[in-house]
Amino acid sequence: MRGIFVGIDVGGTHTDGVAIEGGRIVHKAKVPTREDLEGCTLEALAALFDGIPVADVRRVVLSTTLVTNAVVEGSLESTGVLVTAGPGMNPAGMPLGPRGRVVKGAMDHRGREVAPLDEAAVVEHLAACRGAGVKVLAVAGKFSVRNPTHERRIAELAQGFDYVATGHSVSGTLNFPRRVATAFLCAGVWRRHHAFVAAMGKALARFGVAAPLYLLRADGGTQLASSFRSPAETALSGPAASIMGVQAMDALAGETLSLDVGGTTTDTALFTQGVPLLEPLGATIGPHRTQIRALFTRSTGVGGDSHVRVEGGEIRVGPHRLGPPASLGGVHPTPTDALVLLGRALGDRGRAADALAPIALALEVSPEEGARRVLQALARDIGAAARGFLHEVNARPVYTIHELLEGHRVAPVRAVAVGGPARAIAPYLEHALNLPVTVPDHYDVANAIGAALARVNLEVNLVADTGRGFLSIPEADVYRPVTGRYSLEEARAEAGRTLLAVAEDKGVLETDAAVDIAEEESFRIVEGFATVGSVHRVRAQIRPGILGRVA
Amino acid sequence: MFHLRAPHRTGIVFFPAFDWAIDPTHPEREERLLYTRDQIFEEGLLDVEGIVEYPPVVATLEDVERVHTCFPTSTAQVSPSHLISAGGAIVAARKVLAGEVEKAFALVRPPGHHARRVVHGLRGFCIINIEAVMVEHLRRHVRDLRVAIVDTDCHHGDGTQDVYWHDPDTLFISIHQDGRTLYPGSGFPDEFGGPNAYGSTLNLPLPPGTTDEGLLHAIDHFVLPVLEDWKPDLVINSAGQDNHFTDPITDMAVTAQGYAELTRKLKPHLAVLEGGYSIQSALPYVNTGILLAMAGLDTSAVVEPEFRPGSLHQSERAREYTKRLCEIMFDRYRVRDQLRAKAFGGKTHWEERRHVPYDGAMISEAQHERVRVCEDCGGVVFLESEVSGRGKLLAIELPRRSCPACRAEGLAAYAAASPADYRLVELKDRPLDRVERKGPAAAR
Repeated sequence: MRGIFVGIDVGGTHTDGVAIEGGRIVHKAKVPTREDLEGCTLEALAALFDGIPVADVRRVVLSTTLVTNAVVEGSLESTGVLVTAGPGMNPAGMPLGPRGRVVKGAMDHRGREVAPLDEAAVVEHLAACRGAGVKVLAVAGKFSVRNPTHERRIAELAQGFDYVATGHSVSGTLNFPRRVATAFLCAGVWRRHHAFVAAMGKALARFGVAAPLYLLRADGGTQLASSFRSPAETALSGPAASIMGVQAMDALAGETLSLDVGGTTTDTALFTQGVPLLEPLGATIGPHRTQIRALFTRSTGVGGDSHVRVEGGEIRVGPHRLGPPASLGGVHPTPTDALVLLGRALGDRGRAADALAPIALALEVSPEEGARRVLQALARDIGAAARGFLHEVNARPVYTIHELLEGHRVAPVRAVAVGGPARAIAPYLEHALNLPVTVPDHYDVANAIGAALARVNLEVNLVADTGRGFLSIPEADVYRPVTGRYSLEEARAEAGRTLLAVAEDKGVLETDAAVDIAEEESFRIVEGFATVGSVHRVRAQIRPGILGRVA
Repeated sequence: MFHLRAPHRTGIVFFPAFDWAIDPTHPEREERLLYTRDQIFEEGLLDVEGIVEYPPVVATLEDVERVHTCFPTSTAQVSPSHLISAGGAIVAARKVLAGEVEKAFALVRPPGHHARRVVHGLRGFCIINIEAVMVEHLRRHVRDLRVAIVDTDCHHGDGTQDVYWHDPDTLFISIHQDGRTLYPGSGFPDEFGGPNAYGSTLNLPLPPGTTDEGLLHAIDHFVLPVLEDWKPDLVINSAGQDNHFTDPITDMAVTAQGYAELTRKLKPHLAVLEGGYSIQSALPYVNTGILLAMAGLDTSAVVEPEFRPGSLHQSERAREYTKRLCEIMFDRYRVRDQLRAKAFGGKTHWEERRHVPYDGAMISEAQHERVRVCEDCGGVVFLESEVSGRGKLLAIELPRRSCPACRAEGLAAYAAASPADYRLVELKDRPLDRVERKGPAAAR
């Protein structure tokens, strides 16, 4: 871990940057986030590089809101969508958008071709897309992760398109609607992603930085910016950044709740034995439920800058931010103003008192007591969100008797809080959560630290069906014949080898990353009354993790 | 985009028990729901807005003992897998009754509809009757309910029939392949219920080779008119899937489309998986069809790869037979009170001796059942049971709403029964939700 590791996180209010060397933060930068994403990233980089020897920079990791912005703004590129779907839910009912089409062709649950691909229909739709000026394409088939032949053939036929996203390449897990949505998002953000990566690459060159550019992913991992086949994977890297930052600053023994209290939202996550929990099905980005591997985090609409008022004798916090806090030049009262009034944060105390006066009046208490009640209300809402989050974690289904009977209910024994207001509201959080709350030293730049120190992580899903004689590892685009003797042991070893090979394509591992067999199962295939083969399934992963801790 | 919304909010408890089998080559083994899981997950069915997945709970031994008399003890007969399967059905039902969902599907295993009141071992892949354990749990913990169980498994639901034989508040209808051609060899039209619940057990044995047409005819022309008349609070479908044309152990010709249409017509509040052993060719599609139909989603594309249009025909003879059978059975249902008076009028008690084979345990049980003919309640039941070499047991069952006379007769008989005559004497005091046991096997 020699050299300087740079991390930048573009947040909703601030863009933060840190430079870390030998486990110490050697420089920090904070600039306001503007609509111009490239502009504020460059500004943060400039501020950061101003204080460090750029020749020593080993890598630069950016956590951006590019994908989320594109979705929220509705500025996804016009994308042609081609799906194949076999027996089951009627694909005709699936809203595919104006450039979408279902073509004939189907695989069953074991990857056997049930209906051949209607190539004529594919060609026809491709021509229609070209005619309409569509340059990017999303292709997804039901059960394509068991047999990608149709998806691959469509991609081959799609000559002249700038980019073709194939569903099976993103994730080897089963979920056809999510596969379609994921391919669609990848295609829709592809051009923006490439423009951004190119601009950042040029900027780094201008700063004299030769180190490679990485982007943070939704699963808290990093990847070389130039190596993204599925650029939607950079979505939701903001919450992931702060979770990885917590990991870099706390030992996290046992079960620990992680809270990132921001300006307008608070994100909750959970660590078990130091490892953050992953979403079971994938990230949800705006209205799109995807298969993108992501950390399990839930956001609630309260934070330091949330609008505060009294309704029906009760203090309401958020979900809106109506400009900056009154004490920092705004008009409306916020929890930050309460902190300023109580002398726990910097700002114009007179303006804070003015803004909060109606609240104290409505509650018939002193201004100080009013401010305390505001912070209690903020902590109350965060506590309720945390309890909802834990309920959701504990309600996750299991499918074996062993897991159900041994089923462990998650019950964290402490919490770590980061984000701007974290230190000042920690006592209130302790009370609301009924848990000890730790606030690490660099709580205000946890997200940038997480970006700087995140390591490459990923998973691959191997399915070997010896009855049918095929093996697939969609994340590595592996699909090949396999003999009847192929065993679970071989599957486990191959999954591990493939995982490391794919990981190396994505960037420098920097440290020894342990291959973790997250799940495996093996069933005999019985047809009639004879065993005709086995299905071995292995999910191998490098867990989300960091390169090293920060002092 | 890309996601659907279910018109009917539907719960699902999916518990495939991937770590449990009766034995390694038994049809009821680990991977039975493997391909179903793949299909359901790939369709994103648990992701559809309005389809809600719930984890099962573990049913308690009290839940089991409310229904069954297990010999020698329930702990000796019941494994965690059975308790979870029943617990899955309980969760599904409670979510419906609490109004969280309109309907629910307990996609669980192992099945239960061959399990009778007395349990000496494995029968037809079943140990405990998961629907009955669920229904009695609901009646105890939620509210008293008038329940209809419509068993559409290909095999006669003889266990459920036995459990509810004397219960006038539970309608049991079984539609199945004719018992002259299939296990368990029962379920004939003259099996019509006990003397105090005559006509609340209804059997419709269909000829082998019955297609969607025949099955749906039975729903339209028999089941729905009966339900309309009987007015249950809760309709439960024991949703066996072995009428499928690819099932390896039966001879029917129903398709996933047929199952989906059946579900749409029957509109059960709850579907509970029973049998079905065509695990690759049928279950993924039939389960998808049932769930989609319950949720009110389009099922038109749920077509098995092995299905060839025009290949499954109902013979004219089978069509006429089924039509006539439905007419006769509905007529019998309509005049059930007259039939009851004719069969049991003037009698104080009714009794019957029978042999119950346990195919899974390779034993046979001799039963002698005696019930008080009662105008006021389900009637106190005395059930003697003996497996040769294991000793005799006596189960005395007081119905949920016992009349004073039945209660007094039952309590007196329990007091009088001598442990010298029985290995086990058990009193099911249903009004008090209490089970009392005595005799050498009662000590646990």
